[in-house]
Amino acid sequence: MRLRFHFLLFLGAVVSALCAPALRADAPPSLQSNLMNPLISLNALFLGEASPDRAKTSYSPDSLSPGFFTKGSGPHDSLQLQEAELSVQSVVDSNFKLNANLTFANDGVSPEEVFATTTSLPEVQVKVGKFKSNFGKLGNIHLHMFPFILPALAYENTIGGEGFNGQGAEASWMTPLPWFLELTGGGFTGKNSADSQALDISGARRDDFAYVAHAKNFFDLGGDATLELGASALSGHTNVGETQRVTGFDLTVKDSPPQNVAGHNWIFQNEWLQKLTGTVKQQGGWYSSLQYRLGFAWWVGARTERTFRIPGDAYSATGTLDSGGNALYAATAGDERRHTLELAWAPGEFTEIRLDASYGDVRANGDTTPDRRILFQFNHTIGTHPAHNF
Amino acid sequence: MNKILKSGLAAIAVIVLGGRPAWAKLKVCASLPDLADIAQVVGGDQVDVVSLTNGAQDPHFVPAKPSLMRAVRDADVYVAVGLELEVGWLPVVLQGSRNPKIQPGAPGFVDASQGVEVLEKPTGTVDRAEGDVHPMGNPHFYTDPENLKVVADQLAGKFSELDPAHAEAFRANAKEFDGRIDKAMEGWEAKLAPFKGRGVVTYHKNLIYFTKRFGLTDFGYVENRPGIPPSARHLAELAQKMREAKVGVVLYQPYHDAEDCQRLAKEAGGTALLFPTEAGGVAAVTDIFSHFDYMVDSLAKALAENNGN
Repeated sequence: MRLRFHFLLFLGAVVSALCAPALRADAPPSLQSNLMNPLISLNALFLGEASPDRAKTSYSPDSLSPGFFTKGSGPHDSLQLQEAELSVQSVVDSNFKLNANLTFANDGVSPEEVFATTTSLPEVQVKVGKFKSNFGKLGNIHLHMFPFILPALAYENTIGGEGFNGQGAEASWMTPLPWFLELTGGGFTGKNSADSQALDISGARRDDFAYVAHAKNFFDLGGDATLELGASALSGHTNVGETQRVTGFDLTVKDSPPQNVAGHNWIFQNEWLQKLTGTVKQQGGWYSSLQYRLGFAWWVGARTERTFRIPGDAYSATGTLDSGGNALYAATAGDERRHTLELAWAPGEFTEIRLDASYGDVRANGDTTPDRRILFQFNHTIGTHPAHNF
Repeated sequence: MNKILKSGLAAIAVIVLGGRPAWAKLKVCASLPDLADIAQVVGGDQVDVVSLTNGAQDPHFVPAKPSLMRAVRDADVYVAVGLELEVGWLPVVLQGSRNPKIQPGAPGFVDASQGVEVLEKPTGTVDRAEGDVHPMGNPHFYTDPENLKVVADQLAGKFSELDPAHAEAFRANAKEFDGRIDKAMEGWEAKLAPFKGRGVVTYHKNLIYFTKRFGLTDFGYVENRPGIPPSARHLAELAQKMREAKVGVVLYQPYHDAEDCQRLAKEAGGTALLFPTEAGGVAAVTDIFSHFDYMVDSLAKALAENNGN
C-alpha cells in the first residue's frame, strides 16, 4: 500500500512536471532589464614608430616609447598597441554621474580615471575620485584626443606628458560675468598618479596635499571664430619638504565654420609652462601649433616646441636636494626643441589615421641627441563615447 | 506694512529660498530655431526664448562651445530635438552649464520627440558600417508640420507645469498654433498636390517626414551613407538613375556641399535647390510659417520646372 502510494506520488510529480510550462531561455525578463546599462565605449590606439636615432624618450630614459620593441641587439621599429581605453559612464541618481576610464597597455591595466560628478548643484560642479586635473589646455584630455601623436615637450618636462592625474576633489564654477569664465580649484593627495618623473610631488607629510587652480576664459569673436585664454597653477611638496610649483598659460584661437563638409577649420594653439622647486626655476617650455582642415576628412598640422633649463642628469625621484642639502640640479643650458608635421585622415568622429614626422634635439641620459621620428597611429572608437570638450 | 515693501520682501524670500518669482518670464533655450519659434508662440509674453543654433548649422555637428554652456546656464526649460540628433554636443553643453533644472530627466528638460510617430526605427543590429545611423529612429521629425502640433502641445503642458498661473494662456496659444498649422497645411498641400508621387533626391536622409507628409518620395541620397560625403562613382550612378527615372530635383541644406549637388543636378539634367530644413537657413526664413512657405513654394516651382525632364 505504502509503495503504491509513493509510486503514485512520484507519477503525479512526473506528470505535473511534464505538464507545467517550461521556463524558456528567451522569456522576457520581467524582473530585470538592461535598459539602465551604462554608456560603454572602447578606444584603441595602435602606434608605429621608426627612428634612425634612438628609441628612448627624454622623460623616461629607462622605458622604450610605444611602437618599439627590443629584438636581437636593439630597438626595432614596429607597430604595437599603444593603449586601449574602456570608457563607462552613467547617471547614478538625480545627484551624481559616474565616469570610469580604464586603460589597457602592454604593461597592464590601470584605472586612468574613476570619478563622480555632481549634477544637481547650481552653478558649481564637484568632481571626486581619481582623474586628470584641470590644468592647462592639454592636461585633462585623453591620449586619443592629443592634437599630435607625441605629448608636448613642455608638459613632459614639467607636469607630465599626460598632465597631472591625481586622487582628490575638484570644484569648478562658471562665474556670472558677461563672458564665459570658469574657475576651478582642486586638492589631491600629494602624489602624482601618472607614471611620470617630471613632478617630484611625494607628499611625505601627513598633511601634504597638491593643489591645482585653473581659470578659463572663452570668447566668441564673431563669425565662427573663438578665443580661449587660460591660466593654471599647481603646488605641492617634494618628499624633502620643498614646495614645487608649476604655472601655465594657454591661448587658443579656432575657426569652425558650420559647414561640416566643406569647412576649412583651423586651430591655433599655444601654451607656456614653468616649474619651480623652492626658488629655483627648473624645467619649462612652450609649444605653438597650427592645425588646418583641408577638406572633409583631411587635416594637416605643424607644431614647434622648446623647453629650457633641463637638468644635466636624469630626473631624481627623491627631490631636488641631496641628503646634504645640496641642489641636485644646476641651472644649466640643455634646451630641447622639436618640430612636428602631421597629416591626418579622419573620415568621421570614430576613426583617425595620422602620420607625424618630428625632428629635434632632446636630452636623454645626460646628452643632447638628435631625435628624428616617423610616427604612424591608428585611432578607432566603438560604442557610445562621451562628446569631448571644445 | 507698505504693499510694495511686502512684495519686495516676498520676492526676496522666494529668491533666497529658491524658485522663480511669479512675474519672471520662463527662460527657454532650444536646440533648433524651429523649436525656439514654437516655444515663443506657445509661451507668448511669458517666455524669453533663445535657440542655440541657427539654420546654417548642421544640428548633428554643433561645436559644444563654452559660450553655449553660458547661454543655457540660467534656463528654466531646455527643448531638445531628441532621438540622439544632438548626441555629439548637447550632453557636454548641458553638463557644462551647471544648471540642474534642465539636465535630462529634470523638470525643465523637454524631449520634443515625445509623442511623435518616429519613422525609420532600425530593426536588427545597428552599427556604423552603415554610416552615422540614428539608432532610435530618424530624428528630423520637425520637417512635418503635423509633428510641430505635437511639440506645441507638449510645450504647453511643460510651461503650464512650471508656470501654472499662465497655464490657460499657454494652452490657448498652443491651440491657436495648431489651428494656424491646420489652415496653412491646406495651402501647402494644395501647392504640392500636383506633384504627388514624384521623387526627389536629398543630400541627407532628413526630409522623409516632409516627403511622406506631402506625398512625395525619397528617390535617393547624395550621401553614400549618412554622414559620409559622396564618392564620384556614387554621384555618377545616381545621376544615371535620375535620368532614367526622370527625377530632376536635388535638395540640400546650407551646411552641405553645394558643388556636389549642383554637379549631380547638372548631370541628371535637373535643378539643385537650397532647401533649409531649419528656420534661419536662408534669410527669408524667420519662423515656422515662413519656413514652410519657403520650402513648399521653392519645391513646387522646382518640380514644375523639372516636370518629367
